[in-house]
Amino acid sequence: MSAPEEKHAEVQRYLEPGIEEHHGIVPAWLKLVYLVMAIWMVWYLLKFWTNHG
Amino acid sequence: MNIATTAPNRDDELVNKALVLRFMTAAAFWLVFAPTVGAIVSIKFNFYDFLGGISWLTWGRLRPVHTMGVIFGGFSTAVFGLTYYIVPKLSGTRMYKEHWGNTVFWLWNIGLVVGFVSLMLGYNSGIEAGEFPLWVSIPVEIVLAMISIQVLMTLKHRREPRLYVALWYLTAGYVWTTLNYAFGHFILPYSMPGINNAAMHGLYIHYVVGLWITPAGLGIAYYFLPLAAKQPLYSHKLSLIGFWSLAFFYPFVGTHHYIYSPIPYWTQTIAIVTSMMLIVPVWTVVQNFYGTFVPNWRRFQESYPAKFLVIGALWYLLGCFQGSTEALREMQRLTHFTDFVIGHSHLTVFGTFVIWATAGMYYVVPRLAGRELYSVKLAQWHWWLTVCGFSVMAADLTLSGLMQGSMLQTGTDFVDSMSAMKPYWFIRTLAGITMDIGAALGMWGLYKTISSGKPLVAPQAGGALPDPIRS
Repeated sequence: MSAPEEKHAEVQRYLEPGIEEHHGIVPAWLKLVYLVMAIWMVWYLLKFWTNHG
Repeated sequence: MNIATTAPNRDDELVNKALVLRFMTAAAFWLVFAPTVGAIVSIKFNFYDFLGGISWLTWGRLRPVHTMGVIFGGFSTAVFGLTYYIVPKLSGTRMYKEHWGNTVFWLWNIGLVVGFVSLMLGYNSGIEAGEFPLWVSIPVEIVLAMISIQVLMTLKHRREPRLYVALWYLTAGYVWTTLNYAFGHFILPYSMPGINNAAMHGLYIHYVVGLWITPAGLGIAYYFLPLAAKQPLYSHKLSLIGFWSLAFFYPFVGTHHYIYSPIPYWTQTIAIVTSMMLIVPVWTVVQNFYGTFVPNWRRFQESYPAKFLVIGALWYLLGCFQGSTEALREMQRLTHFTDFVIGHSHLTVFGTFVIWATAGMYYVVPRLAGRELYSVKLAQWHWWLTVCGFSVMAADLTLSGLMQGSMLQTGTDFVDSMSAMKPYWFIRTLAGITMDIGAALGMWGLYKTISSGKPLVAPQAGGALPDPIRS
């Protein structure tokens, strides 16, 4: 198992309700979404901050 | 209230079962009442003089009863009850000042009744999603403050050192909403005239949606997701990214209702950008949802909480994508003042958050009552009528909105565009009635589970209870 997968597989348990959760990873496709959205945000703010073109 | 006590359960030590079940019963009533009012309102689109001769049943008075009824009557009452279940369970200690719960229950429900009667009598504050008059807003604010204090103090005294993400969302939702409700009802109407009032009004509305309905709904969904899926949550890391990106972007979203209005251009741009950036928390949450469910997908067939959680996540994805993109100037030009917006609000408020609250009710009611689900058949009808009725309604409103927007953009007379909507409005009414019947059957089943379901008995003394809601 590679390092990120090992990290993902770590399980925390909340004793009372019996809920468990993986430490987890951020999938590559979501990282790409974050990047694209961040670039788009900066572009849109700069281009449309005012309506003077 | 008749609670079966034959089966021992750890819930006894932490949860005030009678209080939670009382909230569930009240929520079941409001979740039938408010959508039914919506169906009646929708009939008025098809038959213009339907109930039009009675002042308190006119469109302008019933519409806020429907919207306030869904948001505060059905959804919020369910959330309050589930809060009294989730917070002690995740904190490992009983709720702080537990006896306040009874005051909260009666103050809240009497307040709702007085609020709806007031609205029907024509007393309306004029603030969308905050139409209750002052004499109702005061007890509502007191209730929000009381539960906020209970939640915060329970966390302070908790025995579980870590805070599961459901607690993050619920706590934030209560604190934000206590502040926002005070802002919307006690400050906004008296201190900001003109366009500033409109802009702040936009913020208030969206804080109700994004800083109450969304975090409260996500808190519930995150709690029941791993339990319904019988799987560990896919990613703690994603749950935190979702929470903080919602907290960061949502506060600026509200003014997207005023694109092309006289409010400053840069505020419109910020609203557009932050609306689009909500793609980050939404897609993050959806990945976490399906990442949790996929390894044990058969739970979707077995469990009603799982069914409602999964379909809610799908509608969350669709509804929020609508919401983000309709803020864009080009889309706003096409969709503003059309049913597209109504489709979006139904997809998010009902299709997502009411449905997730319903999942929580299906999980909690049989377990706390110590009884099997009264009727799987009723739950099946609830599920299928909701899925079929709501899918038709959402598609109908979305498509008719796009069609009306296109007609207006190409110069069609406004009245003609309205005439073209008639078949869509008829379909919307039929779909709404279908959903309402489903909700009525499901809620009746939950009520009967509490009052006369078959008692659950653990296979061995002190053992775990069987799953009460397998189909």
